[in-house]
Amino acid sequence: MNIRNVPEEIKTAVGEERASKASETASVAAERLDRDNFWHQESANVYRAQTWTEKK
Amino acid sequence: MNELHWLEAHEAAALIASKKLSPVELTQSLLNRIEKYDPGLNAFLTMRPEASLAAAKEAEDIVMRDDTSLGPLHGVPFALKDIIDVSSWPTTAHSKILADNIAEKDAEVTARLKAAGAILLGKLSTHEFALGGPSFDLPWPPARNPWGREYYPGGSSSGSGAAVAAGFVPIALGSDTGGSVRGPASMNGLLGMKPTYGRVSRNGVVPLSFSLDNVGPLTRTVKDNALALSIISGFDTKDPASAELDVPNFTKDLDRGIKDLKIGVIRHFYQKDMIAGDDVITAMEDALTILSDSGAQIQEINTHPLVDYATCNRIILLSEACAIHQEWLTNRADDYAESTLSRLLPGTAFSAVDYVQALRTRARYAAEFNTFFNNFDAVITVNNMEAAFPIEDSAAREKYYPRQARAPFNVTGNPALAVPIGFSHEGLPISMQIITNQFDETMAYRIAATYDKVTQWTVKHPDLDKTATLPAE
Repeated sequence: MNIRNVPEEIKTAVGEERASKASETASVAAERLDRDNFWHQESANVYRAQTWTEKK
Repeated sequence: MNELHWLEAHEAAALIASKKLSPVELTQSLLNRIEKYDPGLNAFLTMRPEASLAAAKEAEDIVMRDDTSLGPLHGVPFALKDIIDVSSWPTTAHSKILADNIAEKDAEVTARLKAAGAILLGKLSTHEFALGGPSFDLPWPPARNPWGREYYPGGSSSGSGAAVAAGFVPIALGSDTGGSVRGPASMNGLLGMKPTYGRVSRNGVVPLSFSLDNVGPLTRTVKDNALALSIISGFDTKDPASAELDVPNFTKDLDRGIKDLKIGVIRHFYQKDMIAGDDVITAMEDALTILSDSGAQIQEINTHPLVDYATCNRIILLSEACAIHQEWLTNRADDYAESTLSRLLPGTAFSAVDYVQALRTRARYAAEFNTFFNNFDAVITVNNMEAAFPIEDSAAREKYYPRQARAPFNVTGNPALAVPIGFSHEGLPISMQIITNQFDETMAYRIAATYDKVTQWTVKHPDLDKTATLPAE
């Protein structure tokens, strides 16, 4: 399993114990994610220019 | 006339319009009820009774002038989860971090409810930032369940669920990113709608996860829920996800019945991926029998395992949430509740590739799931795997909090309506979900209304004298 690490500045702010637990939780979730996507599968958040016009 | 606090919103609006009920009388009655019982339930964070009564008086004056342009909720009280802005009111998100945050403008949904004539009674308790909780280490206590104040009322729209179930307001708004409208609806015996992503504007709502957040109504009845959604829905240029579509009258098919509708049921979510409690499994089968007896064709369908949807939801939700919270996590970590920190922090550790892969998986799951609607009018599955657990039992909280099947429909974006399906052996509400095609909320309400006419679960209310009073000192 590839370990995901909490950034150092946040680890400093929250403490080693919390950061370690978060790292473990994130690593398990990242490992478990179903990545069986075709190479050309689009992302769900593709940019839609028409919705980013100036707000009225 | 019924007791005023159990009046449905549409009934109250009709009585007010015909001058048979004063908005002031109704508002005062609900304020009295809140004053009496909310100390045991903690549903409200902020109230301004004088302002509510002044708005009610203004509504009454309009009626007495025989104004013919009354809105559909003219004079009817409502309340808002405290992540939804009201001009000049605090929006705290139930957090120390936003304790001094005063909104400059109404959120779009607030403005739409006010334009419909509704009267704001107050801002409601939530899990901190719609994520943590229930937390006992914040300046305000967590909301409790009106069916038994020792129980959890669901979250994160905890106060919204508690306030409606307690008869404090007939309509409250919540938000739903991984199930936070439908969870409180489940545990409080209410209707709770997570609309199609893009149906309701999130402008003026504290974000948790931009691509998963929805605002939706909690009500005691199907008709009120459909009415409330009709009012808050619609295109808004200030929300980039807002759908530029006409809004139908969601109440139009409530009496149409469900003869010959085809309904798929996802049993593996609660009989294989997780094993629901016996009360819930029995109630689900009873509900399916009632729908079948009402003329629907029921057929079992299969989709990805629940854990796959939940993982996809979690990686997207926490990655986006941490983009919002990164600075506070660095500078104000001690101001978060412990449960908020523990849920939020994994989001700081995911890689950019993890996030984008989850978004790609989401797009695939949504496309696959929506092919069901080529052959089915709706899909049904469980809501919570059990009824509410004791709120102060931390072991029960750890065990039961994740046992739900709501996150899949935040991933796919479909509308999902929580519908009461009875009570556990302890007398606590349990619930199913009706999921429909994108932007076909009308179908979900049609099925729920047909089911509710048979079962009448929604006419049952808690007796707050027995369930909500504070223990003697």
